[in-house]
Amino acid sequence: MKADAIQQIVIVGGGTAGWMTAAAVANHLPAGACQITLIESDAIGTVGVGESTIPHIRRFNEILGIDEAEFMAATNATYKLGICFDHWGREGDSYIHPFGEIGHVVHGIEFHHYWLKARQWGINQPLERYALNAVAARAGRFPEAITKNDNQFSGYAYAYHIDATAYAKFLRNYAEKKNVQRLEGKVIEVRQDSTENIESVVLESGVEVGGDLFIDCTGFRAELIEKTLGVEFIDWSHWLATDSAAVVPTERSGTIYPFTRASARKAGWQWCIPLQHRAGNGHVYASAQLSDDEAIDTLLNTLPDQPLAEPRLLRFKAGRRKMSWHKNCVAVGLSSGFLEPLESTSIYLIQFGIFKLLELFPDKQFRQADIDAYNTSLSSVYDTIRNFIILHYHLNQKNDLPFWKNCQKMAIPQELEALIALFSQAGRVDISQFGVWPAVCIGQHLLPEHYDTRLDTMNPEMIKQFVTRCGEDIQDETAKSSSVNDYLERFLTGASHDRE
Amino acid sequence: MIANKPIKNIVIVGGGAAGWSAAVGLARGLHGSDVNITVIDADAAFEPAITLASEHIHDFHKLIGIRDEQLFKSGIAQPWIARRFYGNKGECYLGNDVEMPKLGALNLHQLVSVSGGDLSTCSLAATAARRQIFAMPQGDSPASFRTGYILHTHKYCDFLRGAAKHLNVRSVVASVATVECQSDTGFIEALTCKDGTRLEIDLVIDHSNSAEVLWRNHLPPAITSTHLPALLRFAERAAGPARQGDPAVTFTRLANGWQQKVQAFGQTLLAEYCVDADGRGPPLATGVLATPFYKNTLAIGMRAGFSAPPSVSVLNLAQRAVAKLLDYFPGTLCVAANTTALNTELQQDQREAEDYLALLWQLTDSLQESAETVLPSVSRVLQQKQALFASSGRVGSQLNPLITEQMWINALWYALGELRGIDPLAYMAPNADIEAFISRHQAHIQQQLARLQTR
Repeated sequence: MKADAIQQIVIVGGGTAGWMTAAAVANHLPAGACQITLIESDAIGTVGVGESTIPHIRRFNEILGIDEAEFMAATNATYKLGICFDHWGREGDSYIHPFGEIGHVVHGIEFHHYWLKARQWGINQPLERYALNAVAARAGRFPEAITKNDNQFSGYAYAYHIDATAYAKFLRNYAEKKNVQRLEGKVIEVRQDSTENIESVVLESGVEVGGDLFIDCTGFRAELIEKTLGVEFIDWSHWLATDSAAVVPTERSGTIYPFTRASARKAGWQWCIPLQHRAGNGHVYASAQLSDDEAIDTLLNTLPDQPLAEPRLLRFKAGRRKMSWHKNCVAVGLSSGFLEPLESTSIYLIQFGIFKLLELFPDKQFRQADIDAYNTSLSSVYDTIRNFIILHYHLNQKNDLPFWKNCQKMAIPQELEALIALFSQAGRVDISQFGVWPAVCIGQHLLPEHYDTRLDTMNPEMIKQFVTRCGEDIQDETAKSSSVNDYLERFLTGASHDRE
Repeated sequence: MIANKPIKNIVIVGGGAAGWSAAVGLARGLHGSDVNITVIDADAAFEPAITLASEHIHDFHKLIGIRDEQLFKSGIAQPWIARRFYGNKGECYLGNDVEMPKLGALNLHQLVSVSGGDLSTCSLAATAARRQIFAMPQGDSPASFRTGYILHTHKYCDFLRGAAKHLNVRSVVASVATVECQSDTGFIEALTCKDGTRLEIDLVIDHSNSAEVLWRNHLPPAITSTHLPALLRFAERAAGPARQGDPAVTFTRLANGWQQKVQAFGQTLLAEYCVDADGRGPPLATGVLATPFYKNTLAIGMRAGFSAPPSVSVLNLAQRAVAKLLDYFPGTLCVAANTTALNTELQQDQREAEDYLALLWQLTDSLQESAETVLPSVSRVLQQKQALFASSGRVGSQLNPLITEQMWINALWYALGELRGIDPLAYMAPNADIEAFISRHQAHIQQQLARLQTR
């Protein structure tokens, strides 16, 4: 009914989650249909990590009608073609988990089967040599072919490294132009009605802000969803034991490599994310097995360049909210769940939550079937990504380090066990999963016992030629491509000329 | 470790449309590999004389390279574009729509719910069918739909048989006499037919009329249907000549089952699926196999499980099973994890087909003054679908579904009737915009139909 329409939306908390929500909701709802208010306090810092993204962010920007060059300039963005995992399977290893395809699917058989077969004949190149994104990434190049739709590399994708704080600012500007009202202040009280729905929040200044729908973007503090509504948090620390991160920005100069580096350490791993003007670095670790001092030392001793600030410590716990939507409150971002940034999924999970909310947008009746559908979707996306992250930890052969030994031996979720069995026995991947499984599994030495046996009856020369050609085409395409530095500069200046 | 060798000898037990679909599908899909495919063209599982194939048949025809004009010319197939449901309270039409245009992010059916019209007037397929016009899909029309086919099962089977011969598929016209199994794995390793032919086997496709043909007393586990009576009788008959074809297929609810009526190939043809059809026709066991891929044998068609129109027909499911087998094609070991993954996918199809059948059954209920309810319950997934639609007229999106989002919408819209919910965003859009959008779309449909009629 028209009378039931949501008229007031209150977003508590700014940051990446808050402003992404404000911008997307303001863009989606008919102009003037709703008053959207975002409350944030300069006194409460934002986590501000999540600088590494996955290609879905491009869809988010596209839907909001955001110009790519403008966005990249505002967020000091660089291109990202994948993630480089160092020392994960064994000490000294390095493999790239690329966005998009590896090789090509021929006769309905995925490329890694051909690759496995070709090894029998001594063709022993690493699998990543057959992924354009991986080869170009290691060469510090950006293959323009992947941005077009007219060539054999159109299936590939790219994302960005961004300054997440700047992205939030950029979206704030966007949202305010669409009449989102920003209120500065700290929430000190949350008022509920007789049905326990949230009625209003009271700020330190005494101002009371009422609303029909509340969105909790308060991060780990989960002011509304947990402190007010008491929704339980499902703890996954028995699978994902890291609970801390030491972070520090450094200078960045020279070649921009279009990948996030994730190097395994003694009891965790360390990231390096190149932006235009600096690099983000962080050491994720399990505090039960590594002291903060030791973690900071490791970080400072392995920085690629001069630090620009003192290291900062973050604490977290892996898990998700049992329900991200309860009553008239939807948790978006860290208040809804946390997964460490290993696969750069924080912004994607925010985006997923927002789009699902818009798809299932309620009215004042808050019907349970809509809420259930939302929670089912959110649980499933969190669980899927969780499994993929556990996979990285579980598939290691580092027997001499207790943290890693434990990851090897621990009981893993049943669904993950079945997926690993499917790959290790038959080399097959469930297409509904997140990420490029063959890259990670093979990159961490899980070679399938069997490839698709149909390859045994094909002409060996044809298979050899096909595999070789895939590799050569990628070498050629990479050689043709500009360096990331050049491409980025051309793109940013070219775009600003276009605007003039 | 025992080597996982390539599958070399495939035997399809039981021809029929499903068996021969498997033969052509595998011969095409395994083109380039060195395999021998043999069809034992006897003992086939039951198939109706007229098969109502849903739009999924195009996926399979694309896979095996069939051009559909061939089928029309030789009287093997006639297209259909909508389902018509009859009850004593009236009739309704579900078009085979792929998708309907949107106003911003709002689905058309939400707008129709707000404005209070009838959804089928916004479907080109349904409107054409109502007016007895054979509209065919037009490229990028905003009212796109896909045709289904009414198949003359025997002729279709002959057609596939011919295609299979071209692809070097062998056939043996004699029943299975003995089955030899490996002692350790229980895999079937050879069959001898009553004419003395002995066939070595790596992989079996089971489309036989009974589990006993291959498994004697070691039957693979089955799941009984939650929606349907354990046994339905099936009867088929011609009810006089029909001067012209009907672009819609009619379903009428009977007290103890349902009736399907098509007008094709110059005749009016009736088929009934009933709890007791006066002892006429063969009994069909409802329910599905828990593991259609069992040891080295894939059961397809009626051997894998019951499915019937108005939902997706058993032939469509068999053809999809063949395509999925190619996705998960095994070696001689049939490794467990691969088998499990394939079975999961096959079961998902079966469950979705059954849910859709249960929903359409409810739809015919809502068109009856007082219908006896033969369906005891519906699955949890379907309950959730109905609850969500009742709440806000939405359908959750799914990956690679058997039943597309628009097909669910069309059925839920009528099945829930006045109980359906509306997307709150539809109330935020100005009424005038909604009315204008719908009228424009309806006018577009009328124009297209007028153009078709003048041709």
